[in-house]
Amino acid sequence: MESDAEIIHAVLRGDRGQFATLVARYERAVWATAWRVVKDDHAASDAAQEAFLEAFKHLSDVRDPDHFGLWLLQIARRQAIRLAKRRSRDPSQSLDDGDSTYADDAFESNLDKVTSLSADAEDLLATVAQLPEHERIVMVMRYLDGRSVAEIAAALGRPVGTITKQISRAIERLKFSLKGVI
Amino acid sequence: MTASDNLEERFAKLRGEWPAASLVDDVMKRLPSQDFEIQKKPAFEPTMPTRRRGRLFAGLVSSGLFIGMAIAWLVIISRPTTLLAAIQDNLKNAQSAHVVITHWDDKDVAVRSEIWYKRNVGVRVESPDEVCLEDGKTQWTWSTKKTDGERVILRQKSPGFFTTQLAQMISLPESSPEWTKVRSAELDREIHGRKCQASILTFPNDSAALSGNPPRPQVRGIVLVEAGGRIHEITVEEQRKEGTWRRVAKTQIDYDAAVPDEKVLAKLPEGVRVVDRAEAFYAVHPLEKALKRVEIEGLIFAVHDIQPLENGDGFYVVSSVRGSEEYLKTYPPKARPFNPELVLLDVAFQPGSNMSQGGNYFRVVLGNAQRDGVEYSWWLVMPRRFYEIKDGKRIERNDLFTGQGEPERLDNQPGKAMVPLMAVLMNPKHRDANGVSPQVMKWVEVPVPADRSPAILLEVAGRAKRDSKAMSVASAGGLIGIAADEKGAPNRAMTRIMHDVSDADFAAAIQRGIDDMSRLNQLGGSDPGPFPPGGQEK
Repeated sequence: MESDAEIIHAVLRGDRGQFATLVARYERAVWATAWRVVKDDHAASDAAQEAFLEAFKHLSDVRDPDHFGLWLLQIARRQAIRLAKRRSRDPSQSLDDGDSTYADDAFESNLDKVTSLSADAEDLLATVAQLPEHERIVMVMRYLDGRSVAEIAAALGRPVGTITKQISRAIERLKFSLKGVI
Repeated sequence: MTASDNLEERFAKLRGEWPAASLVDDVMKRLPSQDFEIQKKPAFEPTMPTRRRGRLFAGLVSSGLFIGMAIAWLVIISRPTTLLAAIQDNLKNAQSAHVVITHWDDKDVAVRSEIWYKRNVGVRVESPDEVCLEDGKTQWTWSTKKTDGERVILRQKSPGFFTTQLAQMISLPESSPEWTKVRSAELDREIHGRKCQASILTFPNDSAALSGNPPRPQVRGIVLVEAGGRIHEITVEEQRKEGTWRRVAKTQIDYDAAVPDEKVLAKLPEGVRVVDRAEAFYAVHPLEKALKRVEIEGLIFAVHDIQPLENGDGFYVVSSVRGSEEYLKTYPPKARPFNPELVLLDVAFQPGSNMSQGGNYFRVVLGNAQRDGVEYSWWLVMPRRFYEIKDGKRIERNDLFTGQGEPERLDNQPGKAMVPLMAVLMNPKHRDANGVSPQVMKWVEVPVPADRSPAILLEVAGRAKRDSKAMSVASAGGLIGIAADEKGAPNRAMTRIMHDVSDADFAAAIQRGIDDMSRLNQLGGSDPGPFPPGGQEK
């Protein structure tokens, strides 16, 4: 499996088609990130699309291509916040575009949830979406995309042991967050 | 039922209920048109430290790639679309052109490059250390640096970059409402005998915020356009911290300039040896002299060199991959301009970074080189040596071998070695529904030449470096390793290593990669082991 760095390199060299691989690789993680903010399936898809387009335009800004996923999720979050602000029914509810988690939380409380997920699946998605970004990426790749640890390691340009550790930590975090449910 | 099992079930349920369709098609349809240029910085290099960027810039200037970058700047800076359309049409319609590009560094030292273009005759690019000449059939490049060594001219079949793609180089990006354009009459002036009007285009600067990187200085372009719409000059400026502007680059285009034929005709320096780039590339490791050739799913893999490493640490391998004749007919590769001197064909690539090779081996990559759809790779295959720490003592755990499709040893038989040949298929037709390119992989037995006795890393690093340097005159790629100042062990990023590195320093860069990979061999402790709980590999 090609690493993100190799794919980014190819895209920057002109092979735009390779960007599809990055979209396929990160679409669920990006969608989940956007969904955490907008809590609306369709809006999350819109924000996710915008995030990929923004990432494409600014691909050469990625200083460390092995951190592409983290960079992409930051864009997704920002796009989701922008979209949410536009859709906000309460314009007086000011949102900072900064990195304040408070901004997300404040906004989330102001939204109606629109999702086709069952309550159980939604709980899990919400918990996954709150994982640190690097853990969110590996967990989505592992358990929602069904990729092997070796594939994830190859894609992210990380050693297998690192991915393994991240998954283990994320599972511990999920167990803790979902305490009483599992 | 364990918590992990329960979690897996819940993930399976979430996967089944996933409420969003794939975004791939929608995103790909909405990408900016083919004419859109990603806002390119100099050639992308993974995690390149700042001081190496300086060296890269010097290299780009000397290679002529700077010209392409500068014109890419022209593309970026001259939005909106109507202006760009005018530039493209004007250059297409021009009989000749003289382009002068000047770049100023942080200390305001100027570097000047010039392009002379004459339709149906040729193109000449002069950068500070190099001349590149192209007549539509053949391209010649030579260094203008003073040297005590032999002077050579590099020759190759014309990649058609200037003669066929000059217009593409200034192709039209989509207009962007984010650009701010302000008419600035006070800057109007006459250029090339024509009255030009000035506008200032301000580059949107929110990419830093998006990327999470430290903000870059604000950039603006002062564009001078004549009444007919032809852009004659673009000055790029960068805002200093105190608010004043400093010039960064200036591009001046003189359309239908007087360009004498002799300026663009192939008049080569005398007494200089001509080296054919393609011949130089293939002469290092010719296919017909390969130690082993094997076809895997239409790809021809060849092993050109192999040498055991001391202490049974594995093997040094030089391998190449290319498409078979039939494969290339079925899956014709797309030509992709890489720089003004090289057009690449994407057929297949071998791994470009260090990785676990199955469960029991590592692959450590030393470098790669690609040209004409052929890719060479220099790499090590090394057995993993698992161990655990008990009571402060290191205990080897060689009983963990799984043997699933992998040889138990790399040197099963005297005089032979087992090596894993693998590559990713690059033709878009191979991609799966998710857009993922597949890879092919096979362990093959390779004869080890009798004169290849066990070597230390320094020896093979030096040989890889010399191979790579010889092939670099005609290829993309280069050496790879972990720089001495790279932080974040054991997950340090790999970087390109320049060919002027000493053998010892290059060997050290490779050793750092080996060290990082070897840290994964420890069992227990904070490492939960080779496989995570749950998932499909259970």
